[in-house]
Amino acid sequence: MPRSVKKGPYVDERLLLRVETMNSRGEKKVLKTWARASTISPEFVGHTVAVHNGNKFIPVYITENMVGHKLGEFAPTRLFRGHSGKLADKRAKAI
Amino acid sequence: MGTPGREDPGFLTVGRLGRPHGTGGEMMVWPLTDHPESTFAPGVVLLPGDDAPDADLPPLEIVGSRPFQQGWLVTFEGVDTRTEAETLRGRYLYRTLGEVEPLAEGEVFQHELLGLEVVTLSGEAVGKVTEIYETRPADLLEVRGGGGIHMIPFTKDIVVDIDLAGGRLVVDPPEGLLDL
Repeated sequence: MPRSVKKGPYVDERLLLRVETMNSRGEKKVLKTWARASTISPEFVGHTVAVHNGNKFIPVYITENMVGHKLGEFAPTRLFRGHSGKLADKRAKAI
Repeated sequence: MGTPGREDPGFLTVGRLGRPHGTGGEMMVWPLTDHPESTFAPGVVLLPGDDAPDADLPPLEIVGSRPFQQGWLVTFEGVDTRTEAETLRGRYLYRTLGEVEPLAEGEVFQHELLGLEVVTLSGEAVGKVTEIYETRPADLLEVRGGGGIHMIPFTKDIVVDIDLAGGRLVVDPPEGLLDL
């Protein structure tokens, strides 16, 4: 059953408070959090949040498209190391 | 192109041959390319091999392909039975560097980033790029150095300069990123 609309999205209160404080001061610090279930709210955009994946903190850069998703979606609990030694036709582009 | 000290590879790995599918020689291919549609199109010739294209194995021309689950089902010229397909299982498919899709504006091959020296704007050495993880929304660079292992998101805000010729990556990490 989905979460009640009346309640609104779940956003970790402490995390939101820290983000709002940084926004008011114009700071950009990496925030550590274990709140993987927290929804990403528009205030988070442009910040880097270090989300714990059960083993270590994964830095997640928040973009507009991520608003409404959960933080845990962007911090995978398993990281695939790829085919070692193979020069694959894979590209990278800074967003 | 490429990192200093590393030779131009000449070939790129575009896929890995998996299990045969059916009895007509069709094979599952796990793509190792960002452009599987053009790479596995009919008429394209790929070079099979293990660590590099194997000169003893004939080039494989694609005669048919279709996406299937998380990979592609591909039929090659001259591979008409399941038994013939089984002999190719587990091998990698290579394509010459000149034939792969050209890089788009701002793109780099992931392997070009491996081994680059990472320094901050102030010139402080962070380490070397040892792995690239494909995560959303941005790839993650694993950097190993004297301070341990660091994860750095591949974003324009953080990675401010990529100097492939000089073998350097200049980063402007937000406070706390290198302390994780």
